[in-house]
Amino acid sequence: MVKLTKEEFCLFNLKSKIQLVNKDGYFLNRRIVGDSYLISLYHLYNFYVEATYDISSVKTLGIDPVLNIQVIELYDVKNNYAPKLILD
Amino acid sequence: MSENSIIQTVNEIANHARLNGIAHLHTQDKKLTNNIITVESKKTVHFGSCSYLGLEFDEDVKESAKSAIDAYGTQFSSSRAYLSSIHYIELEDKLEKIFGSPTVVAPTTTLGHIATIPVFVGTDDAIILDHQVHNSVQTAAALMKGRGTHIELLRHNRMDLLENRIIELRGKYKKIWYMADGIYSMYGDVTPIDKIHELLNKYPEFHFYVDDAHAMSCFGEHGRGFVLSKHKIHERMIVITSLNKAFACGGGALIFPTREMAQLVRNVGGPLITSGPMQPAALGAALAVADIHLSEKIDEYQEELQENIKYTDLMLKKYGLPNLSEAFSPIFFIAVSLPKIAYSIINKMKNDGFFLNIGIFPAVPIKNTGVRFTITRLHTFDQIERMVACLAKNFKQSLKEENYSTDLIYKAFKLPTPFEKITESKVQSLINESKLKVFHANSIHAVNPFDWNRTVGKTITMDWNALEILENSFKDNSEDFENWDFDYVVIKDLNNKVILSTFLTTSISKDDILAKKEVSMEIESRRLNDPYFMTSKTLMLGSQITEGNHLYLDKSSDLWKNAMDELYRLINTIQNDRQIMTTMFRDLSSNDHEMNQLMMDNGFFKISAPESYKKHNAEQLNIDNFYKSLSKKSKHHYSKYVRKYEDHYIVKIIEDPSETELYKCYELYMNIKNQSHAISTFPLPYKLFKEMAQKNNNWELLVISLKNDLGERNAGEFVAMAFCHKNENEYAAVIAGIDYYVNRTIYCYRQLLARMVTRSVELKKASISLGYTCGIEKKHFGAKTVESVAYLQVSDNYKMEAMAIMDTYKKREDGKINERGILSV
Repeated sequence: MVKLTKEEFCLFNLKSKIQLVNKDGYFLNRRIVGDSYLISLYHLYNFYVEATYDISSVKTLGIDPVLNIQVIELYDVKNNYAPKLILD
Repeated sequence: MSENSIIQTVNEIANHARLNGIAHLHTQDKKLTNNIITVESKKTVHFGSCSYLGLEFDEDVKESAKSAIDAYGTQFSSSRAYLSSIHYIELEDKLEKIFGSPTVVAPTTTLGHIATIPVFVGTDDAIILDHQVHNSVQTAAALMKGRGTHIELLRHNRMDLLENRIIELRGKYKKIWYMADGIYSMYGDVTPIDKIHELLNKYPEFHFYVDDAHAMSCFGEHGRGFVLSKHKIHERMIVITSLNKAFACGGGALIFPTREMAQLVRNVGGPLITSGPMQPAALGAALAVADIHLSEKIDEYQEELQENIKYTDLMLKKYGLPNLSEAFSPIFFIAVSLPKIAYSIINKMKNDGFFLNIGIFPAVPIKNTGVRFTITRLHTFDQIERMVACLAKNFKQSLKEENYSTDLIYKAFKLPTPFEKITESKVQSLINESKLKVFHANSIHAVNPFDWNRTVGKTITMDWNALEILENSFKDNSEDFENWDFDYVVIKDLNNKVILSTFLTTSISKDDILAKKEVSMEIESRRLNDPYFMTSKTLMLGSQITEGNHLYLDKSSDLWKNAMDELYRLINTIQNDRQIMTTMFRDLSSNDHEMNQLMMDNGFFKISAPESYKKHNAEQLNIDNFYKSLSKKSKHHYSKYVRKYEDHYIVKIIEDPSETELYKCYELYMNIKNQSHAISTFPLPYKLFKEMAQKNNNWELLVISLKNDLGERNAGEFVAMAFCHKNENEYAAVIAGIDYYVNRTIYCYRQLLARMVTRSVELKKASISLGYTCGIEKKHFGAKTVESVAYLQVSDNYKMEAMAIMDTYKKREDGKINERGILSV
């Protein structure tokens, strides 16, 4: 697998980004925002991306690179509202 | 070389290719599944299909072909000169809608050429054939040679030589026909269509005949191809295209600028009269494919194909393969030079499970042999990457086996090696940069107001004076986020012509500035304890409160890219000096591909930005006819929510507000700020309000107050406000505030929008910029969406180890993604 840069990754549309994350990404963690969004964190090539998923419309809305390490703090256990209940 | 010896040579090459197992092959599958084919008992991924959109597998298309057979049998065998089946008529109607011009369907593209060329090209005309024009055009043109038409060859795509030949031949021949392909079938390069239109407009004797077969469906509105995607058909142009490739049916389409020309070919185009018609199955399928072309699906399919092309292009670059094709073409040509190397690579690829083609004489010169492959919408990224990785491996191995080098390949193709290319471009860049004068300052006072206001000052919501106010407001404040640094850049050429002008601000900004509002709300809850949680020192093109294109660039200058290089260099210095974490270019056009590439090459990645809204005021618009100019729906909205409550309000432009009045305005602004998370920013300092409220500048304060008491609110109380900026042509609503209590009962936000719009009409401004969010409300007043993109560059301020704290690193057994299954493709 050759590695894409953040710049190259962002050149693609959402459908292609989903393909790239499915092909080359590693899932790290997830969190629920409000009652509507499930945000998943992936390690992809040499960076990280967050995939925002709309729970009610069952659709991935966007996949964007993580800009700030502090984003990890949003993924602690307290904030991880038992996503399995929703997913399974 | 005589014709016989050409036939002999081609025969020898074809036999050689056949014996080497790379030509005249056949599939062994009884039924095809997507793009997998079995060749010589080996399952391979098909990288040679010209059905670029994969429409041959569309269920509706297959159904339509079957229905046509059910209705008309396997053939409706009558010369079209006597009788055509209904399918033909329906198809030609639909094709006319697709191409925007009268269209005739031919049984094949080659027969289409043979039917058309003799009808329009006379013995007193001249034909100039592009050296690489498709063989079918050459075959049809050769018929004219027998009749005495002058025919000559032009070096591929050499428009300078073409113009010389037009000048030379125009006195001798009645019409001069240049015959070319839209997209060339071997290298995937394109005809210089803009230049051709220029020549058509310049020389009345000049005619253009083009075969756009490989571009059909893949480009342009309704998939009308490359040539017609950029310009409408010219009155002296004929476009021939294929329905056999991405259109996935059969036959060819002949497109003419007039109905008379189309009818003339129907009447006297030999093969259209004497050849058998297309079979109902092909016509039925073509009708369904035409419907796809006339629907939105075609845009989606084109985009999917372009994504695959983009990925392939990227992979070829990463693996360092010498690709000669255009960036957006579905045809790829990897230069290998000698036929034996191509045979070796293609066979190895076949053994590794990938079916590719050879590009060889007579399609290309024998020493310019290459590995040719195509990309379709049906390929997956996984298939593409595996194929390119394999190609790189086999390319290297075959060169080694044949004791050949990449430098020799570049030489054979008369191309500079990648190293030579880089050196050449660096030298050119240095020469160009010496032709630029770069001006950089930290205060607007050092910038010439004339240079500023006629360049970037025109395209953003703020002019020179407004920036002076911003500078005064964002300094010496107590909070870090209220103190900004300003950088102004003006780059001129040696004639003092401004090529680039812009300004940048350095500030603490929130990382979720463009995130979804729910995401921002979650982060805001964390900021209650730590106000600087997820914030970064950001260098931004423009500022957090200005709007519009902050980058003035004169793209008519040859030096604009060099000016951009200077800007990037300067940004790099600022980033290092101020320890910038995020750099943002915003409000750039969403479809400027050249800029997109440049930004990417300089380490920026693209993100979508929120839409903003703008209303353009027609010239004849005035206060009296404003209401009439609204749509029926908007009139209803205006009557129900604005006009009905007008009497509750007093609307004023306040020139010199008292401290109390101004503070009340600030409170109204903070109401919106606290409620809105759509664009996450720090609140603006009160000092900015004070600066803007000063007399004799281009700001005005529009205030709406209550005429009478309303529940908890007293008569005279301010309930809505907006600070608006007046440019030469534009009125911009920059800061707004409302009282939500009043808004719930008598809709003061809608009243404010209405008053700002009518104020812009009153001031005779060409447009009003209404900022971000609340799109539905703004559209009720005639505003339109302005789409733009932002580009980010983030210094990698965190290390990989940081992620190690996350002990939830999950990996599926197959090394792929985890079990969450949320990413539905």
